[in-house]
Amino acid sequence: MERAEKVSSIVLIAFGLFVAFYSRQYLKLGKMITPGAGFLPYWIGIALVVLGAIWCLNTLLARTGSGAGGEKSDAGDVAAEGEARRSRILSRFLPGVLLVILYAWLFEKAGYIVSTALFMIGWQKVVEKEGWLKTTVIAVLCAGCMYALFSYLLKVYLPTGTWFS
Amino acid sequence: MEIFSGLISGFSIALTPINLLFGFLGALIGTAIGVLPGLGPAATIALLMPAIYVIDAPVTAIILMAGIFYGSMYGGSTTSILLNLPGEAASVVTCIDGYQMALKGRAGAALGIAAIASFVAGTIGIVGMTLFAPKIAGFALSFGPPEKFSLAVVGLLMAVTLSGASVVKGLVMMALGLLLASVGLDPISGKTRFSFGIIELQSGFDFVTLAMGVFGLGEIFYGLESAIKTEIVTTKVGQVWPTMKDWVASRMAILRGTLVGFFIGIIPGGGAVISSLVSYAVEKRVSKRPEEFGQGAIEGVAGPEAANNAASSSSFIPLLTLGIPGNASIAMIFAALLIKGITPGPFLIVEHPDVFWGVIASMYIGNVMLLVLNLPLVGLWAKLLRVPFGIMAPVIILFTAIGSYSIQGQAFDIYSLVGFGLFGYLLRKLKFEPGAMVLAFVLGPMVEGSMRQSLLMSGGSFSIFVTRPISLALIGLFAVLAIGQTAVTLRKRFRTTT
Repeated sequence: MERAEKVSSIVLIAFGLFVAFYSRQYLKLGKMITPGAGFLPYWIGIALVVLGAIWCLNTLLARTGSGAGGEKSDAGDVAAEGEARRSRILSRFLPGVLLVILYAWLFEKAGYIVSTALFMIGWQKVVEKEGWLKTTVIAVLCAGCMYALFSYLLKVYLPTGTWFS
Repeated sequence: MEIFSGLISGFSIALTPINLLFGFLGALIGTAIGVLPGLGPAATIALLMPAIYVIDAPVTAIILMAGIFYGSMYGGSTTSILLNLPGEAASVVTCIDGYQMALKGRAGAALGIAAIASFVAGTIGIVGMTLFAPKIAGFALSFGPPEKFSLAVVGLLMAVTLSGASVVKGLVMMALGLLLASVGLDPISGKTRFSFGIIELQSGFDFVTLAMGVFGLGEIFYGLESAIKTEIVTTKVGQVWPTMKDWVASRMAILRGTLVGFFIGIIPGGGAVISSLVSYAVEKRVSKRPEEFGQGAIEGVAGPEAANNAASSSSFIPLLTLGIPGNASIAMIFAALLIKGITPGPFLIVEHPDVFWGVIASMYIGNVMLLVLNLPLVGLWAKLLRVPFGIMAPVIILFTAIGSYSIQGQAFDIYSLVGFGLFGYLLRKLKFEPGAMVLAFVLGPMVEGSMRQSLLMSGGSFSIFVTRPISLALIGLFAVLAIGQTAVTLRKRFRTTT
């Protein structure tokens, strides 16, 4: 977690530098009386750099402070929890995120019905690891109910799919 | 007397069967959809916006929209308390203590006090709106760009004090929110900012997509990797009617929240979000047991809920009298009025008194309907959430995806949603509170616009923000609060080290 915080703070500093550079170079700062499109983003970029530096420093100081008195007794538990979390990331989080991205990609191309049915089947099989019967029932019911709700009740336009038109 | 006769005519319009029916439908559907995680008032109104095309009478259409707005505000509280998922930014604060109460088996008390606080504050807010709208609008009219800038920045900085233990992280959130708000076309120079050639980004990010992504999808992603499969409260809702102890603890919080919410809601850009944050800060400050805040203090639910509902009522004032939408939800209603051929503003009361007074009268009726719907049916709403994570999670994803798609009808918004979802997940992992970011995103255009106008007025000098009395008073108020907060923090640190 400490490393993640340190890396994130450095990423934030780099991002802030990019924002400040882009704002100054391409958006232009303008004059004080008539600030340009880049004026506020420039100062936000500078603020992000300063805040990122303080964050990084805080993380380093916190480590120095807690480093001397670190206890070893919980090390095994922490390692086991870390391993379990990594396993959940691989078995649930990553497939889940990939399915959502795939759904976004398919939504207009394959249309609501096909993309939603595939998404629900994928979710139940890959993320929840359900059997085929339960998966099929949930997928059909959810896709159907959502279609009825959005399309008929809420009158929301749902794509029919560019692949089929 | 004019107010009284106007209100009488308003009730004669609002009490017609068709308007009563649409007011009820708005409250019912608004609550039902508002209960669903990730769908706050703005998304709910946006989703239901097509309905106004099939309604002929403008006043009926706006009564429906107002009902949906109120209903979804009520529904959002249920989701915040039972799921720890704020449907919209104004409910972020409700999550803090409401969810803790639910975890301790007091979900019913939290939901009950939220409904009662909302009813009391909403009704007082509408009475205030009816009586004082012209005078208050006159005062708000005296706010120039420097005052608007100071107000927005002070509101944001106060939000940062609530962002958790780290003020630095809160400030990062605020800066990122302002930056996200600047994406798209610069309204003054016409230059596109940070769009990198992507056409869909030229109009900037959509607030609803951002809120649904960061709060809704981000939570689902986080839930996928956490050991606890679900954070949905599966215990019984329990006794909804608060106990005497709860009443005593929350009655003043409700009144303070109502006052805070009403006055902040009037100011464009203020609204439910700032008022709930300010109310929480006030309650924590005046409480004899501030350490209980964040652990399930009922005042932490009652105050902010009263505040955001009073603000919801009074946020109609700048819309109906000045033509300025104060927040994303009101902006949706603003759009709905325009669709029906009505331009909100100072002339509305003269040109369309039926709409002005009809909507106000319908709010009184709507508030009663919502209380009747919410107290007895709170268990039913809660049942909507008692679905296993394996079903609820993909359904929430579908809802948010279709919801964001429905706003502009472009797949790009679903990609944005996924991006914001991943960002929300990272924020959760790194212990950031995204409330300040969402607030900064909403207020960003106002902050930038008023800052640039102020600099133009002052010939490029920042001294304008301290030479105007109202602006100076706002900055002074924040300075006092900030110094007080720093003193408390330093004292705590000193005590810990000695």
